[in-house]
Amino acid sequence: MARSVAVVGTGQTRHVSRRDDVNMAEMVREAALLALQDTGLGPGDVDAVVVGSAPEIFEGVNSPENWVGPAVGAAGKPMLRIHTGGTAGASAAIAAYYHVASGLFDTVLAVAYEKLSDGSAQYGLSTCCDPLWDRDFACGAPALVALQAREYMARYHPEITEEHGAMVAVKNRKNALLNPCAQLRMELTVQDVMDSAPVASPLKVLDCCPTSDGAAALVIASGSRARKLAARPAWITGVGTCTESPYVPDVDLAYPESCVRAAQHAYQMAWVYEPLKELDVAEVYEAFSFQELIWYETLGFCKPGQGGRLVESGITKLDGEFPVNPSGGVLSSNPIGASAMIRQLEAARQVMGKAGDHQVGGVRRALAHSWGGAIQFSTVTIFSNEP
Amino acid sequence: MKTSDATHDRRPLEPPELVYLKGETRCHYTWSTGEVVGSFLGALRDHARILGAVCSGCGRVAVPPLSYCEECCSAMEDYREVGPRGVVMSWTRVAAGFPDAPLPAPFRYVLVKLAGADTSLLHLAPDDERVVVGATLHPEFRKVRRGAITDIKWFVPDESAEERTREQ
Amino acid sequence: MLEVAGGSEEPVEVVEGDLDIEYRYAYGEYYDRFYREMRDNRRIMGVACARCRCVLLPPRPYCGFCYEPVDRWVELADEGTVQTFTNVQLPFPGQPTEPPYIYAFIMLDGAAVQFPHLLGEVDPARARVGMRVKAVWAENRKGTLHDIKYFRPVENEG
Repeated sequence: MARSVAVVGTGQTRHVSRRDDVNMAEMVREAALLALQDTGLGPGDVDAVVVGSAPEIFEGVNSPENWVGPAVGAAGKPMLRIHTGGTAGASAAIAAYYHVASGLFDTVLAVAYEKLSDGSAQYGLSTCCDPLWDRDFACGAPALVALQAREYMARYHPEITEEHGAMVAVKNRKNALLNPCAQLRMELTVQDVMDSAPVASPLKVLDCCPTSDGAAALVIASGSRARKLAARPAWITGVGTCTESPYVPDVDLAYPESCVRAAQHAYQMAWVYEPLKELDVAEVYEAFSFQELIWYETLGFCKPGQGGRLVESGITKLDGEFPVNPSGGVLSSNPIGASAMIRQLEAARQVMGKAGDHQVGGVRRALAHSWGGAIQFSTVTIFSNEP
Repeated sequence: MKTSDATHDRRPLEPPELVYLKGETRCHYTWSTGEVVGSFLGALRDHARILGAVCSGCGRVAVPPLSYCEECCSAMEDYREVGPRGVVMSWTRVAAGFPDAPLPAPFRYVLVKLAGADTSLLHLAPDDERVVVGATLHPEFRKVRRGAITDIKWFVPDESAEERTREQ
Repeated sequence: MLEVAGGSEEPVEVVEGDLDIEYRYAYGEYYDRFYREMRDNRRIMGVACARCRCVLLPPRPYCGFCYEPVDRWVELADEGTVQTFTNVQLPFPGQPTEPPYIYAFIMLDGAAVQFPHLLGEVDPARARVGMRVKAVWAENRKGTLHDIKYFRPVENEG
């Protein structure tokens, strides 16, 4: 049986379109030091370091852990680098969780980052495709998710409309107004989103995330340490990850099995039977507006095809019964390699009571979700106020 | 992206097999240097001076400077000029050229510990038999400098630098 | 800005660089047969799983659904149904096709897995999920997915 494990410290940079005042390693260090300060620990108090990062081609720095590791205090310690596409940040924290749950380490620092402005995100993503297969048509992340959105809308026609996607964009960007770290903080209307420039139908500019420079860090500790280090640790009570085929057409884009399974696993572990009732808040990885609706369904917040109704009902607004993405989500900031960890950080902070202006009242259990690769990786992490 | 068609196996097969697909990736980057590395490169370019950083934790002086100590993770808060002379800690002779080599072969790679520094700087030296462990070298700065470590053309043995000065 | 003796008044904020790498990707036995059939015979060949009988693309030695080995090649129609599509309008450096263009996943008749390709000869406003489409083959075929120029709507469609 695994040991009980908690997040005891969190740190993130502000997420902006370009940071020129720091280089990549310094930016990661900024988040790491904030997380350590949050616990009252120094770099020397950490037993091991896990670095999560997206494809090296984004920044053009191969083996970035060589550079990033020592900047966050990894010298003289065990260090691993984890990469699982967009879920890399969450996978890094989950790897840190494994370190501690196994009993081999007591305090582990997990960091994740992206300095997208140093290179070209869409071109980098196109090189993730099989060069002998779909790379010929590599059309960037928006087009891939546009295919997902279209398939989803077609399957449940006429239940899901473009306006439902727009409602997500309006909701999350409004939440971001309360998050000082968010990049896009905007008061929008559904009509603003509908009228914004087409990117890849049915996605418009305001349905899409920005590209960001930013980093996040979590300090993860064993039960006995956690109680000493944090007044209200965010206990990691459920973890699920799952992988599907790299060939996108093998994946049911409108209902990705990897997400369903990751959620089932995490729910079983955390003893969650009715997610919408038993969870208090969720941070999901909606790089594009329609994805939030799909994740509502695969995460079991509603039945397949009812994501539109759920967002329409207002339940997932910040002042609703079950807020989703109170931080503003990925639609408001997307430092790709860090975004999945930011979901965990925001969910953990909700449990710790440290979410600031976008804190939801009385959170006992929070969910963090992420997707990555060609919509082929999924992670779900549940944080609770008790082990 | 794919740029050309498949190359064919040399064997006379019917129809010919597809063996390799040629491809390439071409990326351009604009890396942020950060304040400290940016100042180091600015000082090289504008003043032909080499900056190091002093660790607030262990006192180590790192060249090139970083904003943090790679050994003890403390902040580097004090900066100072180091060198320009340094002692060779290790070297290797590059006998044959290779793509994107920094100099035409033969040349030497050297680890030089500059005066006042605790770390060695990786740089270049002429293929001169005096460039050995323990030798004192001196940087030869380029006339046109653009804010890069290659603003130092290479490190040359002290005598030869002096000789050159004398000749001029 | 650092204040230090010998420091510059103007730090170098950005270092620029390029990373250009050339590759040779080995086709391997399965892509070799697949692309030779496309190039030489205008045929789209899938592989069938020995257990679930699903016909898979791209051809590979194992089934993506149940991990059993595949045991035979199956010719697929060059006609199928659009499962999803997008009218791509966002350009980015290095994009293989210049926008605007319609990218689609097509379920070829007889296949269990969708085929990624482009749609042509179709007004984006009239493209729809469920539309029947047929491959338009390129004259000059080289053993890549571009041996099919695009899929066009079949008669009475688009």
